[in-house]
Amino acid sequence: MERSNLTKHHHLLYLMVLALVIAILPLFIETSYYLLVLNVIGLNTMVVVGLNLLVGYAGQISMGHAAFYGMGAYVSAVATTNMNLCPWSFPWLPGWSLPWVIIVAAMLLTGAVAYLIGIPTLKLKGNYLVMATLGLNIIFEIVLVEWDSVTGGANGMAGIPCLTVGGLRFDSDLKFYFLIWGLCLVALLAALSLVDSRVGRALRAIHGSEVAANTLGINTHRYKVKVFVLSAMFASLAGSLYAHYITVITPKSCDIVYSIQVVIMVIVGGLGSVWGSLFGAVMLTLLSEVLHIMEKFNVVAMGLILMVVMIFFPEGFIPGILHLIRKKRSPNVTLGEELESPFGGNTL
Amino acid sequence: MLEVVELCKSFGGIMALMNVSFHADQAGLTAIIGPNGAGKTTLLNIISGVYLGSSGEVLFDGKRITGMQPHEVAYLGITRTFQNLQVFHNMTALENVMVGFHSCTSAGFVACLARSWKVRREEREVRQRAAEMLKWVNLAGREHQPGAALPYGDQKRLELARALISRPKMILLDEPVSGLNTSETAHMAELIVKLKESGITIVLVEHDMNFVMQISDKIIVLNYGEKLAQGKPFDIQNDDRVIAAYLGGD
Repeated sequence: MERSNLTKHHHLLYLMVLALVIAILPLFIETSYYLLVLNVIGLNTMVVVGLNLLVGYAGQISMGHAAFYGMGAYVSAVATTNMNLCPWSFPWLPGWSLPWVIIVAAMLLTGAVAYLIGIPTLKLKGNYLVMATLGLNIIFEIVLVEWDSVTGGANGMAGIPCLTVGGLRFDSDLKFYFLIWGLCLVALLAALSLVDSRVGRALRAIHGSEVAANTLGINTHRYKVKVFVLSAMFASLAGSLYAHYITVITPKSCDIVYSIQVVIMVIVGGLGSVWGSLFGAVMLTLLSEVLHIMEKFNVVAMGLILMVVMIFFPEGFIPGILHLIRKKRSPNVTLGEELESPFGGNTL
Repeated sequence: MLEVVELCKSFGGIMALMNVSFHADQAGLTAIIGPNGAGKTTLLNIISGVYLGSSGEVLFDGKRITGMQPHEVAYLGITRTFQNLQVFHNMTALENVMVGFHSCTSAGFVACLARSWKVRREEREVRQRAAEMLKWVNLAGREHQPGAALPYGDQKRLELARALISRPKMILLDEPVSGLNTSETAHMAELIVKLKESGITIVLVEHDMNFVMQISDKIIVLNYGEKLAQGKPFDIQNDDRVIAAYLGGD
């Protein structure tokens, strides 16, 4: 029992250290390019934390999370650039608050869409679920390209207004940096609370043995749908923020490649590890920036990394390295459980 | 307590259960025995809602439970263990048992994300109960070991603890002592007798005849999906049809 309390305190400590790092990091950064990279890392972290709840904890794979990211981005973009599209108005709210209301509305809408999609698709298992979610992503992309009167087609949308709070305009990389990472801290804290609770245990139980979870009173299908909705809402939030930050979005920013990238981040960071999600997002975002010069080879490198991680560190790169270090320090300690991959080892 | 009425189950034309009827008395121990493939596990799977019966019905406390989902059955106070262990390999022993308390708690996604006061209170209580439960099955000190890292016999008792923490009215045990050595079997028998004394209705499937004959109040014998005999251990031991089914005969 002591140990569990200890780990809980550790989590809070780590969060505080992270908050401190976030607070002082900009002091050492001169060019806005590095801030941009950090912001992209933050947005990816949000998506990956949410996705890890679904893939790593509940063991259900989604290869279509870019679609939910895109839904957030496009709902925000369409609603704020064509205010006349908003059928409602809030005379009692100050004008600057509208984009924020839309971000929340986009999350709810994305959640509702994920709910409707999740009910039939989450009855599928393993590779079939991968196919269904992949299909969802493809359909979403086609809709974006073809419905150009609203979405701007393949050219996407530009001129998305920046967010403001009263007189404060989030118009610089630095201001957005604090917004994104502030929300990241909240997302991490919420996810850490969730995984170590009744609901988190139920999700892990579904991954461990669906039939046993079911006979202990867990409505496995409903839990899968709910965590799918939750992870879609995390992605939607990140998407909305992305739209207001970059102010330009195209269907490319939410294509299948992005779906695959975030899944790789989950796997590299460690399935079923909230902190791993952060590391996965950091490592792979940095890597893809470094490999940017290699253009198409970027994807090849991603594939290679995924293969190496799946073969040598099936429980994730970061947890794998931690295990190795721990084993070196005290070789008598047993390795403990090896988290079984929800991919069954032969997907992809 | 539990009443099974003319239950049938077919798997693509093969009848796994044919018109099986029996009832299990409150606070009694009913054992289901029979040669391999007799339909014993299928029967438990139907009672717990894992399989849907083809026809017939199952009543629990006078309420029809056929067609219910496993989680609905669990909420009525029926839990079970598994023949091929279903320990959650991705959780510690303590967490495994804590999952068993799911049906007695209610915190949802939003409350857990925000870690409300109610959640914290519930969490403390569940943790304490789970630790007590582990102690009861003699697994104290193993709380923080991964479920999958425990020896086989300990995993069997871990499943028992997980099924018991919610204080079910009835527990279904699928081969609780298969694969256990003599002392582990004796330990398990002791636990099961204690359970019976505490008033929990027990239905179990088992091959170990010594074990079954010692602790059962009533035995149901299945053979090729049909009920062959039922009665007290002594009667079953001397039933010609049962002897023929097990040892071969005309």
